[in-house]
Amino acid sequence: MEPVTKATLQVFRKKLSPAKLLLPSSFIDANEKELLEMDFPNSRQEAWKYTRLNRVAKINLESTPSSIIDWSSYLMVKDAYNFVFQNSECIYKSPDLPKGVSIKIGDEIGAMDWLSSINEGHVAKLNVAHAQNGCVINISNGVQLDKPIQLLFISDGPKQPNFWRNQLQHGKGAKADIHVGYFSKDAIDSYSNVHWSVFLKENSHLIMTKIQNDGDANYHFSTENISQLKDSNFTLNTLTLDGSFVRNDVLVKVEGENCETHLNGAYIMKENQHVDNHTTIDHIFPNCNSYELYKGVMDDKSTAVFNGKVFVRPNAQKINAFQSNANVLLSNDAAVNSKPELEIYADDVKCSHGSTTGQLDEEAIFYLRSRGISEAAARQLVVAAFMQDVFLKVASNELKSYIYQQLAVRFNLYLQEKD
Amino acid sequence: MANYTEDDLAKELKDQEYKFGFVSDIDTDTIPIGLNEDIVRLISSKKEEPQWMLDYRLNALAIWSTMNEPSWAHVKYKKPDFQSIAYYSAPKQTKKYESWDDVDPEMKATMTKLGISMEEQQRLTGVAVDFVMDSVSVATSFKEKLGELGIIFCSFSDAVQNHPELVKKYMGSVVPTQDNYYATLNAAVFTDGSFCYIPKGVRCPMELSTYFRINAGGTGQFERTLVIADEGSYVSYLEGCTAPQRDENQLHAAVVELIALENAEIKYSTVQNWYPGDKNGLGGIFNFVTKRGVCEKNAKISWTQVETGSAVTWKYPSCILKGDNSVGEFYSVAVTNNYQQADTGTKMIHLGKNTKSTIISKGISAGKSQNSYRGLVQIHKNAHNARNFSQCDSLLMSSECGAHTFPYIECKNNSAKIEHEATTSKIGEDQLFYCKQRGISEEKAIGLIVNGYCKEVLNQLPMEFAVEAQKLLTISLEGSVG
Repeated sequence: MEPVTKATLQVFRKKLSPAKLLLPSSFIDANEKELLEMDFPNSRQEAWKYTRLNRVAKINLESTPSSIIDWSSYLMVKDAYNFVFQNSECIYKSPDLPKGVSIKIGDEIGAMDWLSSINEGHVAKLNVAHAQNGCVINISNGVQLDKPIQLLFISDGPKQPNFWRNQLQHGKGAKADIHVGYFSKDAIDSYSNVHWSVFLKENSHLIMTKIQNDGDANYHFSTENISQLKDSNFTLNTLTLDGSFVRNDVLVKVEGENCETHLNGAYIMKENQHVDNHTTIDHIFPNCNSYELYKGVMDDKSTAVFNGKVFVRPNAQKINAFQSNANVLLSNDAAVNSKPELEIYADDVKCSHGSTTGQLDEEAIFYLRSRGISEAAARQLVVAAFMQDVFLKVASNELKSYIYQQLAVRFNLYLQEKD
Repeated sequence: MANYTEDDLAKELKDQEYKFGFVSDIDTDTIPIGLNEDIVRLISSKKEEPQWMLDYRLNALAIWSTMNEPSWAHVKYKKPDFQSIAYYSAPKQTKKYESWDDVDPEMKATMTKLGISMEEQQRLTGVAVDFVMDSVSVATSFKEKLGELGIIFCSFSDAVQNHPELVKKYMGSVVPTQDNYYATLNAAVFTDGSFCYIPKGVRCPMELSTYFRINAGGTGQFERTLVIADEGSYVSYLEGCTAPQRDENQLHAAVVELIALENAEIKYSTVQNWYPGDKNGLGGIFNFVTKRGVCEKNAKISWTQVETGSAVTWKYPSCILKGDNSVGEFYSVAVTNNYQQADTGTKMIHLGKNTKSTIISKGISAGKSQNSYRGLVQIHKNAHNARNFSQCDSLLMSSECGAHTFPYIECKNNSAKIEHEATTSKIGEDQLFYCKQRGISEEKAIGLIVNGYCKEVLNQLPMEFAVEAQKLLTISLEGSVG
């Protein structure tokens, strides 16, 4: 394997347009300086130990004009405030936002709208440098949304680079449900890089569910930086249903007491697909709870990486942090690398993690078969039952049925292929 | 053990700092400090080694000089200055000891203070002890009895002289010269250690034991242990470590290689109690050890360790489960207090079919110490039906200490079953309350709970060691609870 050198990152960037998004120039300039010193990380760097970027570094990105698409076919739930991005364009904006909610898109965003955010690593820095579009959502204090906000990001065309940057400010006591969907169309060696900065004020309540349904030829990098203030409650569901290469970096900073954090994830991988979930929950204040559940099924030659970190800082007493990762390997060519980590600097805490890797319960399959269910259908049932734990965490029933439907489609296609 | 109560412990512990912190006033033969080719040649010539051994060392030195010190471990320390260490320090001797009576009485006294009095041990326990003080093995007991069975148990230097074919064949076969920074350093400058060979089908009738002790100031201890269990044999091997109290940091970089051939079983137990530094984190031993074993078909290697000492520990006793149906086990209690830092764990590499591994790791951190578990479970593609169970618990005893877990779980086979579980918590208020409610004082209750917490591991130790380990546990944690 040839070593990746500084030049590789610069070559990779050559055809990318600079950020036209509205990040203050001071922001971009400082970032640029650091970026010039950086390179694609190699597998010697701990955070990229199991995810090789050589394939990514080699792609030749080029913006292509986008086609006309029927975005409504991508909708995950019917009744929502919808926003649709196709490459760097916002092609649909919900006209009727409720009082107290503002969503600014592209040029509407002023330099002052951006709050300072953490941008570590090459993925986040590339995003700062090349972000083309995105939204800044402000939900005012005390606003409780009657229906979810639904954001669709569609990557269209071969070799298409997409950098989306979003920010969400969630007011005191506000309550909202946000569905984010990532899709791709006609993708061949496409690249998307999406960044979210989420700020939860005191006593707010937010459920963010992201569906990654990118298909087979897109490299998808997603970063979420979350900051939680006192008494807030945050849930992030990451459901990777399809995607040839997916990397998720989630960082939750719990910056107030009595917070609750839930991170749930599911990944179902086949062929040569690769998924990498990196999560960090940083407990800075006492009296908080966090729960993490990631489950995955890997078939064919697919690989999965899970790296979950829980930090408990000194004096952050009375923390309960639980983390669990379970994997099923369906094929002998699939692989999983799991690395749950605890770093604890306070003593009055209860923290645990568990990680398992195994296969489907043959007895359960035998039971189903003895009742006349075909082998393939039995396997599908058992897989669905295994993943159920995570899907049940999705609060919205409509979204849940969307997920099941997607899975059924995938499995049926898949079962036909196998038969 | 049964009559040993918590009260006895408390009495014993009063005013006790580091029990083994005495310096023996023995004439030692120490070579100039520094590390270069001449020093390596000097060590080799002092030990009257054959040419192939010298070549091995020089090759290691050449590799080492191109390597960088690793920094990935979760420990902070001032890097040792490798040029200011004396790499060889031996008790001065005019002649080789013919019998036990010839041994310098001062040295005997040292051993007695260490609680491993030869006479007593010989009489009471039947343990054969190979005592390594500052790099040279001074006496080996029970040699004759073991000799009758064909068991070779001697110092490493003797093995180089008398059994070169075995040493040549196996040295570096599990931990290659270029393995890691400290193992390579060890390969260049190792002074002595133990060598053990159990012939085919022999069950070693007694526990073999070595005691390591760093005595002279400004020296490092680089010993090398090689245990070979031939087909169908069994051996239980004990290793204990102590060092005097000094306010400088001393370096200990050992290499242990275990080879379990077909159907053999090796049980390797360590009680490590190097000087941990004083209450302010001054001094103490840097313990950077590479321990690894390889299991052939149906073989079993079991590591048990109780780690209470050292300022900085960096140690991962590992098993390569090469043969089908082989078994690896790792039981560990690591205690850190004051400013101690430990980054310890294991690696279980599953290569063969139906291989099994068990990891039980119990960490206890107190004071301002940092205690990390770092482990790797790797299931290779052909390791069908591999099975692993890992459990890593951490107990926190003070608000300023840290407990960390970094497990790596890599699976490439779909018939493998891997479970990993880790918990971190402090002693439950409810447990304490329950004990106190039944008239047990808080201090005793804590002792009780800690001992119960470690039981799973302590049970794996041979009897004499278990008692010592239990005492050590309490010594290390004295005054840190509540």
